[in-house]
Amino acid sequence: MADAGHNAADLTATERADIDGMSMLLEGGTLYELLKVPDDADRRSVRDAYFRLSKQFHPDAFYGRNLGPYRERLDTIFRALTSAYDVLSNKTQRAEYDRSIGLDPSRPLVATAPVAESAPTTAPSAPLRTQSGTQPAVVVPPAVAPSARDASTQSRAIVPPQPAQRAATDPPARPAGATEPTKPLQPLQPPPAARPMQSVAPPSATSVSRPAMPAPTEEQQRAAREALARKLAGNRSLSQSAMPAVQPPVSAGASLQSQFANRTDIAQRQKVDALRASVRELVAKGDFVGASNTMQILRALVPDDKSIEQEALEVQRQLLLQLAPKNTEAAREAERTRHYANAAALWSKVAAVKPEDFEPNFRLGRCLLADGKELARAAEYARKAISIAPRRVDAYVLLAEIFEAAGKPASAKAAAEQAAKLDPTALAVKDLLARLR
Amino acid sequence: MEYVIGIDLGTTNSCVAVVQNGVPTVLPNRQGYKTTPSMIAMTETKKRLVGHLAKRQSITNAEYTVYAAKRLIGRKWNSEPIKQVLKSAAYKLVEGPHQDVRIELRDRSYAVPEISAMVLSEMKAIAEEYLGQEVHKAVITVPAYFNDNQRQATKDAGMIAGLEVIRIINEPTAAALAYGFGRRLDKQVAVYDLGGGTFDISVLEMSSDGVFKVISTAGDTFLGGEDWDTRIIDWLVDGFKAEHGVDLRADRMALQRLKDAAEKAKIELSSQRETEVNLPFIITSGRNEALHLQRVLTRAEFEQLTADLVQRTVDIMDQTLDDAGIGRDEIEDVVLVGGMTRVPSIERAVAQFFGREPSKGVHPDEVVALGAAIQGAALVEQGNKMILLDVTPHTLGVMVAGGMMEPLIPQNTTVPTARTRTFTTSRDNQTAVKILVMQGEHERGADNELLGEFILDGLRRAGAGAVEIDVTFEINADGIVSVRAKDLETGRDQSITVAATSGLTKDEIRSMVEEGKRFAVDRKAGEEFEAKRQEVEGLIHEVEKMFGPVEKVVGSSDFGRDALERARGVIDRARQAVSKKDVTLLKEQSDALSRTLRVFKGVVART
Ligand SMILES: Nc1ncnc2c1ncn2[C@@H]1O[C@H](COP(=O)(O)OP(=O)(O)O)[C@@H](O)[C@H]1O
Ligand SMILES: [Mg+2]
Repeated sequence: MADAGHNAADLTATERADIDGMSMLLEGGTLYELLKVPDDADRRSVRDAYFRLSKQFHPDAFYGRNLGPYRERLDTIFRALTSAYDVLSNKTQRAEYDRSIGLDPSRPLVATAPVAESAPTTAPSAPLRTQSGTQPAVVVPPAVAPSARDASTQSRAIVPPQPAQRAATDPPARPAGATEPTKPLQPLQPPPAARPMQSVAPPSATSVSRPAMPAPTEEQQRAAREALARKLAGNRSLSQSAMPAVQPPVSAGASLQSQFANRTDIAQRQKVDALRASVRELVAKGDFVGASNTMQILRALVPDDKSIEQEALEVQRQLLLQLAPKNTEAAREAERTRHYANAAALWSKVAAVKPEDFEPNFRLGRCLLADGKELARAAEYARKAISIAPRRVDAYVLLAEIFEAAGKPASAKAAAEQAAKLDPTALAVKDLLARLR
Repeated sequence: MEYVIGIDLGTTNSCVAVVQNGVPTVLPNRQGYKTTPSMIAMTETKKRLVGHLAKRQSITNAEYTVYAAKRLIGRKWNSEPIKQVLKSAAYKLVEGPHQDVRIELRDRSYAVPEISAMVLSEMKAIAEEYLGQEVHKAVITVPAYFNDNQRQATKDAGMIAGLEVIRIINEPTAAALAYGFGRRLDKQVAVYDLGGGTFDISVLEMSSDGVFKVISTAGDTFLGGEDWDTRIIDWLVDGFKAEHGVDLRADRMALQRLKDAAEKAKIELSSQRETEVNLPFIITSGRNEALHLQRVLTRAEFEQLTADLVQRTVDIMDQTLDDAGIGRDEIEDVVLVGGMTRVPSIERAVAQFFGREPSKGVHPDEVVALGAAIQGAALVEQGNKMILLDVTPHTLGVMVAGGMMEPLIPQNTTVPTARTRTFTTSRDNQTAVKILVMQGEHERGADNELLGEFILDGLRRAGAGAVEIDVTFEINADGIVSVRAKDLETGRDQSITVAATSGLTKDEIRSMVEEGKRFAVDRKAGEEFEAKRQEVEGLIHEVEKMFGPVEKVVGSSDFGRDALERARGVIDRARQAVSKKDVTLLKEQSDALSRTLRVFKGVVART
């Protein structure tokens, strides 16, 4: 394929290989091969295959990228996939197509696991015809695809208007090989049946689904992680001190030392050390869930060690920080589905580690209000939200609504007036004041 | 990071959303509401009002308040829908220079995309305020039945508002995206969208790996909440006539109040079993006495008045499923969209039709904008998380001899797509053909929308039918239609990209963009300044308050006195910046004030 274009296109080698490979599949192969399903795949399996390939080859998957000559190729691939799917997902059309390639339409169909993309395509393939001439390669699946047949067999007179009689409407779908009505243009005859042909190599590169985008907080998290790891590493002397045959600690950890002095169980000390080491390791890897769990065990082993407790709290904090985006998302979802108690629990996890953020505090207040059970706490968070963003009208409105719900009209009014000071035109504020009057 | 906002530009209300850190969020406007009325108004002093502000004054300034511009967008002056709107609109419509529609406001006449652009600018401003940065890109939704002209005009509106519209998507599709987002559903769902003026029904299939395929979509352009309102108005007017012998319809002001009251009553009946319509002094009688309108409407009565409207939506659903060859029982969930789906009889009818309760998980007013934002993010973010396989809502074809339309791309074909068909000349010695590109479902060409036309000439002189022309229609992923005709003998070809048919020329759009920009810049600077000014004044006040306490602590020291002096300087400069109306200066002073305040607080706290 046009080598010159390779440089112009903004594609990775793998992507190019995928597109080129797929283009080759269009040139020869059955519709089943095109969609990479066995020919007894049931409708659902066909759909899954089509969806999977669409995700890879729909032009939108490359949105905003310069594809050079690959643009056209991609369009062609996607159209071919779609018309293959249209045929194979329609009972009658599929039956006709099957007959045309010598398959028994009444054979039992089965659900199939998706064919591994790296596995070579089976079965010999018949060439798919492309439209002749200088047309852009509009792929015509063998036999039935009605569009293709229409394209080749129907002639219509174009205006200027003349009382020329309009040709009969399109013939109903016909099995391949049926004779076409004679028309000035030579019709594209689909091949009568599959002709054996050397099988086409599948796209060489396996498509690997890319990992989800890293959360934008990744950077901060990594920094935090490293800081914590450093902190824990700095404590190393402490834990080493607990090791037998090591010199007494030179710094800090007096309490720990005496604790360990009281304990003669060296095995236990070693276990504690091992656990601490693994906490460090987990933190370094960013696995705060693991670290937090390990900390739990540590705390159970040495229940009154202040420094371990401190570390545990820090790990817990990091864990919550790491989970904050997920918790935020879950909290929003819970709010959307009106599970306010649940949402409040989630927001409070977020708020705990993001005390400076308006949203978690504000939303926590709002969810607590909606849940209605802990109005005092709701007010506390509404106030926090206000102190974070003293100019946000909605925070004052929230506080007012909480007071209103708690049966404190005077306080509610005061808060509402604060809101009105900030934005006297806000409808929500007007409504509120009207209600409180 | 560059955000793409999603805008649901509704007939009645508009809504804007964005995906932030992977989470789609609806953005509230300044009043704290998540939807903004799609209304604009021009006040006597030629001030532009948009949204709630426009709505609030709509009764007193009806003539210069434009609502439901979406009904006009992309339509020709002499089209049926425009004739309909002409009958009821309180604002003045005139014919534009390209058979398009213009709206007379106080200063000049506006093209419809300009009006929509005002709403879009507002949505853009809401987003910018929320995100704290400029926004340049948007995905805008349109009803599925919108034809190419209407879509193009909507894009133009976006452009005038200073937005690059990276994609126009269908409202029901957007709703389905939002419904399925992040839930890894593998389902076939129906989306029932009944808004203020339109009804849309779509069936989609979604897979757990994030592919959404539209199977079928249909609707009615002239069926929506307003029709329900009209039934109530009729009922009130008829009752009033029977009682007082006076026809309220003759009085514009009365009619406007009735409209308002009817909608209010309808909305109340969604949560109450009955509602009272009370319009004192609605009109004066022939004998010059003031007449009052006061009636109670029960939900049961309301349902009776509107039963046939509900049934119409059911019939359309039935037809749509039939056309798509899908059984009702194959629909695994039903998503309700649009304010009207809060009407109990509608929810009931849908539940009954599908034999299942509609999904409760989505917010009918927000779901469309959310879906648009999701699609926007999916397009610009690498990583291929989601793909939307949309369809073309209308049949595309060419006009053939005899005035018939010959379809090339049928309705509900997955895009991108391309189809080719061969045509012939219709007369002896015909050396040119005119390709008229049509869109619509009618057999008669003239009943469909004309998207564009071009001529292919230089054909060989020959008998009728002896020269063949291949016509290829192509729709790309952006929904842009292009058509090419090719003389098979000579290889000559001609093509058009159907794009510039929104009723505005490129030059006009360009000048509107310029004006829109000027407007946006004006307003933004003003807004920004105002916000900063408030902030700075608050800070000055706080700092001044602390002078006393701080002086107590550090006043005995030279350094302390110096510091206080400097703080006074900061305050002076801030005041100057305010009077100079200089935003940049103001920002600097605001920062300086914040630092001062922090220092002061620290000093006082330490004592
Ligand atoms: N609670 C409600 N009960 C009944 N109808 C409602 C309710 N809320 C809004 N509506 C109606 O919904 C319509 C507006 O719906 P919306 O989806 O915002 O419209 P659009 O998409 O056309 O902008 C209006 O006719 C309005 O009266
Ligand atoms: Mg809507």
